Amino acid sequence: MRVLSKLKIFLLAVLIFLPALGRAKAVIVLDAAHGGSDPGLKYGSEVEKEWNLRFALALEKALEEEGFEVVQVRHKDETIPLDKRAERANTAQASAILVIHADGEWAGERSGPMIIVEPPTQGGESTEIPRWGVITPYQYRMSLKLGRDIAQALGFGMELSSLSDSRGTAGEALNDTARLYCLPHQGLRYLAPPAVVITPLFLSNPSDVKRFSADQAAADFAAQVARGVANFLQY
Amino acid sequence: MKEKSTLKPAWPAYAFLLAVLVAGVLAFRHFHGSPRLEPLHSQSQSPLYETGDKPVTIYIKAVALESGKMVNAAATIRQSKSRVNQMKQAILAYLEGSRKGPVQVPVPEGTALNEFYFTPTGAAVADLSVSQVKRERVGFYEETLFVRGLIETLTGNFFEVKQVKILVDGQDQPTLFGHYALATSEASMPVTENSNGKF
Repeated sequence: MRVLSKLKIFLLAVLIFLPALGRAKAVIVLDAAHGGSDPGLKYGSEVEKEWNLRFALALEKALEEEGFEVVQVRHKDETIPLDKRAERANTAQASAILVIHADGEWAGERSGPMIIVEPPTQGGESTEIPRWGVITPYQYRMSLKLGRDIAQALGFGMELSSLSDSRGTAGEALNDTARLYCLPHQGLRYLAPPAVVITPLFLSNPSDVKRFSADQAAADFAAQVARGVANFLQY
Repeated sequence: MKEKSTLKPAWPAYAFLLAVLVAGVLAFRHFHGSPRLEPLHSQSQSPLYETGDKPVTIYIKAVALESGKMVNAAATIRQSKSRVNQMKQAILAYLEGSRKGPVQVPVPEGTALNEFYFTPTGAAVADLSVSQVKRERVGFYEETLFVRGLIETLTGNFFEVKQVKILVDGQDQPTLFGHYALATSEASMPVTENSNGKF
């Protein structure tokens, strides 16, 4: 009788904890853009491919601390064509894909992070590599939700800067306060949603470079992004 | 006893044969006859304007550096008889706009216009050359501003322009400098959505 009772308790415990034991960690794909023979942007001694990898490694650590499994598209300074990147990212069974870029512009004025979401698919596409597929409005909204959760975790408002009329007269398509953009980015064309591009800094802005030269600043940024991803997945 | 004739009147067969013949002739003319007319593409012509053509003010897109916003900047072109020539002048004014001071055009240095076309369907086709641009200095933000500025300079000044298509040295390319996906710039705006994320 006592053995039976112990067996019942054991079975009950198994029933309670089995889902937790069997629960696989959600996979997040990180793609540090450029690399190898493709340096990306270059401003003086600052090279984009190095910054992208640095942020990707900081993000890997932060996401693992949040309980995610991380798949890096590139771990080192290597050349990976866009189609191979897409293949690695899309076959990872990922819950979210984050593409890491740095940005730059001629005047050196613009600063701070940006998050970019691919618009829903329109007609008349012509691209070199077959794109991942049609991005439906629903899938677009999934990516937008991911972008918004990250933007919120970074402390930015939810203003979405999008292109909003049929003749191109949206004069404030890119404004100074929005950090979340709905724009066609080549790095997102071939990825399964939800996917976003994150640009932590402008290499053309010396204050951005100085700020993120400290490892702690990059780690803090990564921790905020990881929190945003966790919020998105309700992790 | 009179035998009942099994012959039916011949005219339906003749009519059928005639119809087949007519269809055949039409099909032959369609595929082998005079060439099909493609939509004419209007190309800009030199000179872009005559000496006596009046100056006219247009607005090109530029960036106010302090706010980061896109603004209108006045530029002067000549009121040539050809609208296509006026459009080409507008693009040249944008490409050659000021890169100094508080309001600057977001045009990567070295960007040039090879040729400009305008189709009867309202598509403005700008064939650009970017071989002289230092690609390692142009990020997504600048690339986006440049493409947006070009689109809005054309659509803002010429009501006929319904679409803007960008070619690179006469070819379709995925991007100009590696970031902004050009495929969707065929339609001047890729998204119809308001700021609340609703379509």
